[in-house]
Amino acid sequence: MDVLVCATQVPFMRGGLELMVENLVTAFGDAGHKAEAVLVPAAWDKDRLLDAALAWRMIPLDADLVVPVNFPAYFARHPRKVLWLAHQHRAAYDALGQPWSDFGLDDASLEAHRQLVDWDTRALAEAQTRFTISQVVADRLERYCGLSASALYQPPPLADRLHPRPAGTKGIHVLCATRLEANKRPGLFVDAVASMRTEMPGVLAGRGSLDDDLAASVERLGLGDRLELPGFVPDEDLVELFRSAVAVVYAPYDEDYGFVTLQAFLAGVPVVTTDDSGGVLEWVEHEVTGLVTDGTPAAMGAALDRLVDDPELAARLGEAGRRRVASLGWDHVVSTLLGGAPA
Amino acid sequence: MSPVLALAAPRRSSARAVPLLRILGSGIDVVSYRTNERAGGPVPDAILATSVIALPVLPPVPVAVWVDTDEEFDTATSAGVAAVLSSRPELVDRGAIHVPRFGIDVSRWPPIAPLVRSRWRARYDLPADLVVGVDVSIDADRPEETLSLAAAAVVVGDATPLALALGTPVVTSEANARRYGLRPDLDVALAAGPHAAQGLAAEIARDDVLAARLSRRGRHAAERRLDLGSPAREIRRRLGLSVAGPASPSDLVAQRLEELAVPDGSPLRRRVAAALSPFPTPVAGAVP
Repeated sequence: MDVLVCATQVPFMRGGLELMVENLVTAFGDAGHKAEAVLVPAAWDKDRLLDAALAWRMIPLDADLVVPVNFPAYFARHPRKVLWLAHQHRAAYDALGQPWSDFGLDDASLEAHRQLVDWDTRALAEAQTRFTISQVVADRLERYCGLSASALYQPPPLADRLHPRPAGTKGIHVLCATRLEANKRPGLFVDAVASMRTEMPGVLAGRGSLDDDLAASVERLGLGDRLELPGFVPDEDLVELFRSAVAVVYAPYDEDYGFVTLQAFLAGVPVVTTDDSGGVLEWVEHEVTGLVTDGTPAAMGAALDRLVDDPELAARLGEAGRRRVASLGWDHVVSTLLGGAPA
Repeated sequence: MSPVLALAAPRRSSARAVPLLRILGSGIDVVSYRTNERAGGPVPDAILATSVIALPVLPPVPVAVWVDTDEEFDTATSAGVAAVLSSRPELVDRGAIHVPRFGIDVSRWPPIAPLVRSRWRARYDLPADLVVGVDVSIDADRPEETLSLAAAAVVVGDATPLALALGTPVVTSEANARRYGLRPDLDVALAAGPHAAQGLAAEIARDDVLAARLSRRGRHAAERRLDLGSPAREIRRRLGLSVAGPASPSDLVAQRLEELAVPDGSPLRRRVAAALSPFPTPVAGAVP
């Protein structure tokens, strides 16, 4: 079968969505199909938001199956369109009111918003079957567009390389590995480390627009000797950082899915998160696979101290997390998507 | 000069044409066939007949005619009319253009999803769970404004198609749903009596998922079953009352915009027009 995976290109950016597209194309290939990604750039300001949507309506897609994964790629027209939705344009939905949303209450915003929701609903309703990357995304789709969808989970990048460290060996740091952007809230990790009672070192890996602000925070809080900011970390080093962590902190705002959670679990490491972290909470169950806090520095610091003080608890939670994600596989993703498009 | 469309309506049959003519008549001179003939007026460009009884006396211009039975359908097609119109599904299946008995030009009323309604209410400091009751037989003062803002509405009578077209989550009576061919608990929510209706609407206003579902399905029902705009455009085309240019890339874009119900004059249409302006539509005869 010839499959086209449709997604939005964000020039000069590479993150979870790009990895997901690459992995899906590879997975279709591994299953004996021909697959390629079709990427079209989009603009995110509300005045130009639907330009790329309109472009997608006009693009000829000659294939047996089309799998769009995000806004506005799902405007692609094809008789066998199976949606696997990572996210809509969040600034107009769940992120309304967040600093990065440009949708206000003025006339232009309200009409752009009205048009976007109407178009989204029509384009998404065209799909033969709708899947989402998580239950959180499915819930949003139902709440905002009145459309149902099923969650279809994927393994994270590096899944085949992440394994628990040998039993009996201790973790040597607490870790937060994420893009350093506002919606990922890496500052919560810095504040949590600052409020810890124990002296366990911390590593904040990744880069982004908050690089300088976070470095300044580390200095201001006197954490220069204890909290390392290595910036971009190559894959092999990242695998080792996960394996040697006591705990991973992952506390984005209302995350769609969150590969970091699954990567930590595959390494047998528990996750500390917050009660507003969205899709992360589909995996992190309080006192079962990790610790869910209210997001205050004191609570997060205390949660980290607890795992540092009690290695057996950390090992038990990490192992439960590992078991929870062990069955995730790309072959299941591919067969489910193909099953969503009966000939 | 505008084309002339004559209405040929045997006695007591003109009422059915009124909703359609309100839409069909835009940019067209509509005259009474009988009055025009008695006055010795020019032959009209096309005729809209409300019954096949009128067919034998009409001049040889494109005709659209209403039918209600298989026999009338056969009579109309034998007469070679340009368009057969009906509200009966079995005749639509045979090729008649579906003209609903009650309806509006849905394309004039863009849908407003519950999420966006909530933003409008925030702008005007209205209650987040604003519920309204609309019966245009009692209160005919701009119901579209009320229906555009409401989180849910109790609606009966003539405002029903408008409420659905606007994407308002609607609570109504069983009789009203039946009148408009609406599916209970899918297109609209049903309640027996005003008190129950108000309570149900308040419940919907607090339930994002239910409101979004009713809004989407209600709009869909309006487009599928209560739209007079699409049949009006098709009738104009069949009667030769609108001029189709040669197919061009911009026609395809226009088609896509229609699919997505973009209102005329919207900022988006202006952007598309600007984007396509460097690519002029070929004029018939200019291309060898």
